[in-house]
Amino acid sequence: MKYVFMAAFVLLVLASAATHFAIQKNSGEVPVLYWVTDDNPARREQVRRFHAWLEKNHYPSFELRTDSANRDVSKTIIQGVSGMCGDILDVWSGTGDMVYFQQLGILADVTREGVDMGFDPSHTYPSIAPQITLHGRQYMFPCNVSCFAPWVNLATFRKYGQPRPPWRWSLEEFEARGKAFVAAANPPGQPRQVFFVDAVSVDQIARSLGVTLFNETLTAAAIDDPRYVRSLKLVKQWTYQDHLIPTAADLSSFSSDSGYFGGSFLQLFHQGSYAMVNCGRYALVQFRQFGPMELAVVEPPNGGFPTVSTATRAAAIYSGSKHKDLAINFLKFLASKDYNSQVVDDADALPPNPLYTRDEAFSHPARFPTEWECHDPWPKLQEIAIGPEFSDFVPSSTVWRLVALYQDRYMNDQCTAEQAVHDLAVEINAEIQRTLEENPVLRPRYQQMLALQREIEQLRQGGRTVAVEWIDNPFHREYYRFKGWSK
Amino acid sequence: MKRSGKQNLLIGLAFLAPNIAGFLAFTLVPLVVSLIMAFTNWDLRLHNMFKPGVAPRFVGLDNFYRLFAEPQLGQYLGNTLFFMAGTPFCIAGSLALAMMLNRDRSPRSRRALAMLIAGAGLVSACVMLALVGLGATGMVLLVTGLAFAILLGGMAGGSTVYRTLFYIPNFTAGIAIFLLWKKLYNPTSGPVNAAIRPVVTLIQAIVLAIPTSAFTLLAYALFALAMLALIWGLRQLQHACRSAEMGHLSIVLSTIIMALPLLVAWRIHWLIIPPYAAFGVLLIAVVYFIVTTYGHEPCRADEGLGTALLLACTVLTLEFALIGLAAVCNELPHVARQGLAPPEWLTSYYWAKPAIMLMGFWAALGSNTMLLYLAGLSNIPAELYEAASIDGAGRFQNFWHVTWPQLAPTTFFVVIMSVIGGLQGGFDTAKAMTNGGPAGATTTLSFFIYTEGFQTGRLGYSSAIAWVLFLLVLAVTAFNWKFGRRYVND
Repeated sequence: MKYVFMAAFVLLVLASAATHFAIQKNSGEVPVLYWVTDDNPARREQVRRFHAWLEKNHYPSFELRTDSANRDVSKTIIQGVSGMCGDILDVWSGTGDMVYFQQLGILADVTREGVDMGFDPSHTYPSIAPQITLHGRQYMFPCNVSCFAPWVNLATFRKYGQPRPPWRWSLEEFEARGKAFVAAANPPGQPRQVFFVDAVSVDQIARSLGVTLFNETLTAAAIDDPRYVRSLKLVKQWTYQDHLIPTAADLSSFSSDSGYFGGSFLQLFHQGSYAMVNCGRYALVQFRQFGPMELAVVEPPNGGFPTVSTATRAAAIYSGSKHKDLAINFLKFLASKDYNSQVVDDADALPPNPLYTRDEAFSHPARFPTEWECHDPWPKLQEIAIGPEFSDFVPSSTVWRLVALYQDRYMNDQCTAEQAVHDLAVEINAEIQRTLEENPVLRPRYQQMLALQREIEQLRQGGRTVAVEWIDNPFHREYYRFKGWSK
Repeated sequence: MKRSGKQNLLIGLAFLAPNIAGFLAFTLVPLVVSLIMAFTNWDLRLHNMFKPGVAPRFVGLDNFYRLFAEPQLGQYLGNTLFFMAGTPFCIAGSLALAMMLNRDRSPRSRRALAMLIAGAGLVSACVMLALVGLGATGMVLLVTGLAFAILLGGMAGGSTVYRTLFYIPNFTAGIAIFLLWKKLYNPTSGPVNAAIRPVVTLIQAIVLAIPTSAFTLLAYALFALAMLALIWGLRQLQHACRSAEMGHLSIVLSTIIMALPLLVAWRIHWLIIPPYAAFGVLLIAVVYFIVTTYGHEPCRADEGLGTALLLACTVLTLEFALIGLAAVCNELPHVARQGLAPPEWLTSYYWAKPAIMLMGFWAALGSNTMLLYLAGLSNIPAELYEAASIDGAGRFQNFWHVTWPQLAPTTFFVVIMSVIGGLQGGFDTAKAMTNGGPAGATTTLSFFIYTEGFQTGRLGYSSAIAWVLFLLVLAVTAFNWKFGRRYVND
């Protein structure tokens, strides 16, 4: 038996040595950097263009490889704090991951390099700038920027004899047109097959009514407000009573395997099951595969304050990377013409640098003349776009979990809308207090912001204007400007 | 020790070393570290390799206090226990399946021939229906074809084929099963609702044809039956107490458990039983027992606790089932008027838990439990059955007096393992099928541990939750051990 053991031991040693040499051989002569991102044709083309761009500009040579196996946020967190993460990270700004990663300390501060190398926030859209910076420091640069607005399938509207939706519309107009559409599209007494729109965000409606999750200084929840209650009630009514939007069960019935760019809901849009879908410009990647379509883009309905939500997939550098100096070149590449022109051509959302949306190549791509009406609305939507708000006094994952929980409770008749928003506000505020207890470093800033909040409220009660620099919440900044409440 | 003895010891240790190293690195050390973490404020946002000089601080029992003040704790614990309620059904199902598979199905037996003829008849009927344009769905043909293939396989290979078939879900990766069941539960196009829909339509037609007052009467009759079940349970306890088979502690505990449905029943709006009335009934029941059983043959206070709790839980389940049915009967005419529809399963707050439970039941049928029971059944001496049949025992008596007692050690082991697995489980299902929703309906404690630990970064707090879960598992296991082992030894 001991010989068997010895043989197994020797085999293991040999296998370890072979693995060691194989890794050394694969590593090549130039450094290898890993970009934690998804694997798709666009990403592969971006890597190819990046290598060509490095060579063209005589930058230090290195090899960039994509790592699609570790994209999950939980993996990034655990690998990041263990010192084992990829060199460049894809970060979705819409969920507040940047704030969390920055608190973990796993993102490299690129403020100085951004200014020196030409990829500071002034090189992207004003609505995106707050999403790539925190307390004045830059941590990432956008890869592709998305606004979420309704795409309109004009053929579906024509099929059911309904007028084309206007560019800007009120909530009442949306509801009236939606009811008329579903009545025309679904024969009475039969299961509903055609919906007005795939989804309506409660937060989007609430923002258009002038209310959002947090207050001006992000120190407390601000949703215990009749306007948020109205948003919840409207979405429930449109879903379960008017059937303008599919219910969770309808969605589950529709569900099919989605591929690159989550095709299923766009396929349903193409087939005419949805007259409109909320998606960014990147939907064109899929639409081009379907063949020519009659499309238009409109603003989401608003309750008095026209706005649209925006977010970006951005690239950040892992602070534990051994090759930060090389990785920084990738962020510079993202601001370059070589990269932006690819995003313009592929229609993979908006190019990070707005300069490239002013080209003919963006507005009127020669290969796709049927799309010419669909490109210019996106930079125009960016003018009213506002990004999500994240308070560093409470983990965003907790906020999203609670928001989803209470919205679900109301939608499932477990409580009234008033109860839901009240309990949600109480819980978010309790979480803020808990974070402050856990992290005393935040307390002085919190107290300072709290004092500022009181001052803002006093000024507003007196009907006076407020300095916009005092306001941390990107929504309130724009809303104050819109209302003429800011200096 | 002799030289050869020492050498053998060293060789033995060398063989064990990889396993011991693995156990230390991946089990013991993390276990101890997590216990320490539960008493610290370790938060990834504050304490990690990029935050030098800031060490986690000892916070005593703060994490535990915080957990018990957590607004959603009740819901998540309730969900975990709800899923646990399926365990007895899973065990019973596995046992029934094992007993069926334990029978020798010789390929040339008459029974097998009858099954083959029945299978062929089934397929022929479906094909004929399809030919005349009725039931010509691919799913019907597929299912019948599969059933026929299974019968045919059984003909050729006997019980071994069936045993293998039933054990197949255990070989399949969890995620594949979850995706399969998601498709099955599809509210519109899923086969489950496709099968239920005609039944629901028929029920609706029947309900609308019957006067509403009949359902109200039926509801009250069912509620009365539930009360009778309670009275029957109390009578059993009384007899046991008078014959000194149960002590006072056993009696009081099981009385409280049996009276619990009364406390819940007042929440059903058509039953006008205010909570103080329910408490009153409970109090009267307890006093009645103390008075009627006082002075009878003395015995230990916890004498017969296991039997008492088993009886109480059986009566409790029966009462809940009857009260639930009564509520359904009362509501049915109103719901039928609005239109009955099959459940929306995973997307419905009320159906998501039962849907997952049903899937768990299916997976448990052909699990290791079934294998353990099969092994247990094969170890029962045939002489015991022969002796029982000489005494004139029927099938049920054979099971109750021979099979069940002989399987007691297996059942004891299976119950303990199922309870531990059940309390710890629910994460993968929730993550893959519902993400803990809708409205937290499928969020279990294990899912909550993941959320707090890996999404929020509160490692100390999530360790505390894990240790509370461990204590819960330990308490239930200790209870099983203390009261279950007696029956095994008996």
